[in-house]
Amino acid sequence: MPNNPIAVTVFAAFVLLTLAITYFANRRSRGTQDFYAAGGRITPRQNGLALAGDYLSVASLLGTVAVFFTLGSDGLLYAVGAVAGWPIAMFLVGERLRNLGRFSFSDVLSYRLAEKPIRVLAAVCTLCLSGSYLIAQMVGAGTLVQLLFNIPYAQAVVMVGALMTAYVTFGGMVATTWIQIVKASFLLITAAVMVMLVFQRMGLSLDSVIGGALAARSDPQQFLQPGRLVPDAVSAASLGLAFVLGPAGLPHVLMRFFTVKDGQSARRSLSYATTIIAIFQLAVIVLGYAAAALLPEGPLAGGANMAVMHLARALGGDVLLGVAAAVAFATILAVVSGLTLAGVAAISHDLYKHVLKDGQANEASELRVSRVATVVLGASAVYLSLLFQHQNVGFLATLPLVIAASANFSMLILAMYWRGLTTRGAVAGGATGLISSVALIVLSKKVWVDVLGNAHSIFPWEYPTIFSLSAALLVAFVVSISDRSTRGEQERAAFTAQFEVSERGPGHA
Amino acid sequence: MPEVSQIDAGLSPAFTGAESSERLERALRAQRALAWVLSISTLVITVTFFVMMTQAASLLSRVVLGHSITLATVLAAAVILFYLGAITVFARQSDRVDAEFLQARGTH
Repeated sequence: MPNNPIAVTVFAAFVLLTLAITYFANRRSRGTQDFYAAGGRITPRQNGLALAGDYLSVASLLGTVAVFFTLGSDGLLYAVGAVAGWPIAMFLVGERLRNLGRFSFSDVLSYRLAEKPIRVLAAVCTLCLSGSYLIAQMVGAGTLVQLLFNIPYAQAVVMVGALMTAYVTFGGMVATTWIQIVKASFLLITAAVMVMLVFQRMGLSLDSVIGGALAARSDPQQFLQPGRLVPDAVSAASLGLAFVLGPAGLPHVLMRFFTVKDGQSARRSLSYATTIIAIFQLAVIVLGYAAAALLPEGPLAGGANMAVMHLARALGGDVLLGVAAAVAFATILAVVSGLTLAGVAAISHDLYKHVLKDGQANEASELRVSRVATVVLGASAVYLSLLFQHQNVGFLATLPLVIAASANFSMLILAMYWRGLTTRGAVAGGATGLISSVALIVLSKKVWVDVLGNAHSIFPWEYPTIFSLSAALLVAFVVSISDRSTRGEQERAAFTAQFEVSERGPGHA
Repeated sequence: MPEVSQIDAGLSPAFTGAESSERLERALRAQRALAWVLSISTLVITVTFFVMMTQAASLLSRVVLGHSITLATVLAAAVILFYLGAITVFARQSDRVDAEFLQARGTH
């Protein structure tokens, strides 16, 4: 695609705005409370937008519309899946997590369990999860920028890496929160404008939009019939489980629950976030069918993931295309910043302060480590993105939700709701969830065949959540109930006080 | 999302400390039960929808509304509306709990 001056202008405006946000955030930030949790000053409405912004990555728009365009009704799986995890996060996790912790979910896991082994486990899970997500986003960013702005891949990746490092190093959670709010607002407005243009062009009903898609298809019946995206019931159930339980185990999402002042505010944030994400996904359903109706069937310039860009051009010419391209790039930039901050917190707050320094590190040294870790993580992400440029990294987009559901969410739920969990059980269960998730995805077709070139996969299903989650829970249960140590008894005895605090807030111990 | 006022939460005037604590406990128990019921429902409904999209593809591709809206599209919209309904119900119960907390603190 040739250079689009609108895209360049809107994107430049976004970058300038976010750098200004970072500057003011840096002036306000005074310590770790500001760096990790924005001082707890974010309101529920603001946090709801920020949560939606953190979760709605480019895949939520580009990827879902691409599935509608290529496979028809199978796009509904991604549209429903994107909303599915938020109710459970609100019902079981949000308020209790906020009441129990300060900065990260490892604070909550280690509330009554032994700090060091739990924080090491949580940090390893966070780095694996955030790392894989980050590389997938960076590779996507490089490819997208290359297509939309004619900037070479390497330059695009370096630019994204430099910007996200600046946001996190100088602005911390205050900057990333407001960047997410701005990005989410741009994303919602752009989607709303596109939906209005679709209805204006095709008639004010979903029936007319889908009818248009069927008329444009060579095989309308195949377009309407689901079942090609996920080939079997086990994979479908596993994918569904990952969507339902994964979001409440994503570290960069869980961190946001600590940016508000109390548990009730965390719960209200989730209410706002779920509503925003649901409305957005209903819009994406319309855009997906509209793409199938208005774009020619067959390969698109830039690939199927560019379907929403082509749709923007079909609806609003180069102006709307430019805006959509800039918003897509802003989306990637905002998401990678959130992921980087979660990784940095794992390194500086969990590993450095609580494991290496036994909780005795002063704020100044912890912040210094945070900033160094940000630069190192940013540089590593750029390097790995350059390495993976020509690799099929689709599996990296699946892995985070599977690990989040199997390792993080499972142990978080057990820690908050089951008296019997002990440190040994949590470490054994969490490690089982992490290792089995990674191993089974590597042995599946996505990696064993598509990346490593083997003839057949060893693990026959596409998504392993059912197995990795079950293994994690079983191991945590068996190891906990067989733990007859004094430490284990103390941890069980401390459950009642922890449960009271999680339900009623601090001060009720 | 609109926040339930103390009046809407059914808060009555003066209670003794014991009575307000008892009401708070009942509200918390109801909230816990509701949280688990809605969570399990969300899980079952979502996984069932996902499995049906592979196992009942022919059924889901039937047009049920207008000229082209299939059962799959209707179910997807219904599932998303279920999520919104569930969080609304939970938010109302949670607001009642918040009101009872305030009342309990006020009488102690």
